Amino acid sequence: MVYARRLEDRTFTFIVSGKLWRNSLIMQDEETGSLWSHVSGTALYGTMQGQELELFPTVQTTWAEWVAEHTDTDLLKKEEAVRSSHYERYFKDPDRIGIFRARWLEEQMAGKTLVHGLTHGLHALAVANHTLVARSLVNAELGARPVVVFRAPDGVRAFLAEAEGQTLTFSGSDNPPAIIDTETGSTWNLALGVCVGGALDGFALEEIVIRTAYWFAWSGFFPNTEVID
Amino acid sequence: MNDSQPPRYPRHSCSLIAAGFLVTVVLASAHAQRDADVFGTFDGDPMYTLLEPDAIPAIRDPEFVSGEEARAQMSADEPVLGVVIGGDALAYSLWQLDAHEIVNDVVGGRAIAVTW
Repeated sequence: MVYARRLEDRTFTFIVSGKLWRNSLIMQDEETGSLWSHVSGTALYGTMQGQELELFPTVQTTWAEWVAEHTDTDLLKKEEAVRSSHYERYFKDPDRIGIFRARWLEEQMAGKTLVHGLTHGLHALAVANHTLVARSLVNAELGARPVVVFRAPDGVRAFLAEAEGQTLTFSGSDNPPAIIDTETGSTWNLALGVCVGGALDGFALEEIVIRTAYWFAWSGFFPNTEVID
Repeated sequence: MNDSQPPRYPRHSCSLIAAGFLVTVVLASAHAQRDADVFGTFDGDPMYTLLEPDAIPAIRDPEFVSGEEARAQMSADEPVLGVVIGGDALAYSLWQLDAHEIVNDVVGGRAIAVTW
């Protein structure tokens, strides 16, 4: 997750609190000592309780895919020793969850299913990663809002599927120029969320922030999630 | 859930949410604090204290590299968290973030916290 750490004219420095809630990281700001969930971006405890940090869109991908799309990217300088993940076996084993006294909704999906989650108000939607590997794009609803979730070359992105008051339904291959909306027949580059030809040429869809998580963690935060598996 | 088709994960599949949990639990085990204290209950769920604050050190003054220097540090299939803010593209190796969980950064003029 990437959050703005400036809130109402104050800039916070966040540290790792050493606390866990719903199987996820609790941050602590050095300025007030308040405790923040890194999943929701909200302060649960302390003088900042109830405040919420602004979330930025991010993608989770490989270095090769990222640098191909962003050739001028900067990289957080690596420490020499870091050459793999300590947790590779954990990530690869679907049966190793390691839940720490928590509950989650295993009747809907296996706990270790990787999902791309969206929220709007009280509404939540989770699209299984394997669904996007198979189909590359998914038309769905988030509450009453039409959305499209798309596997771009540099990661998964989501957009509000609406232009000039009209709902758009997308179809096509994962080759970006070949994606069309049914309603106007316009052509789209969904990696950028931009219309590249037809009646809506130049229209930019509103991007919706995605949180990528294992289902066991996501469903603990958003138990009413609609699931696309 | 469809049992006939087990979930497929890309090689870089990890969880943005699970990593902080893993590092904290593994370190807490190493410190023999497995009997965690309940700090409080929030929205119906307990919050556990497993480590002292800052036992996992967040990065406060990040350094960046680009171009050939960046390419030399990275493996092609190394997982990254990518963000574009104010026209600046930034990549954070998840292998690096495993050890720190939080980076306090300024990108495109915005103060941000990268969390993992």
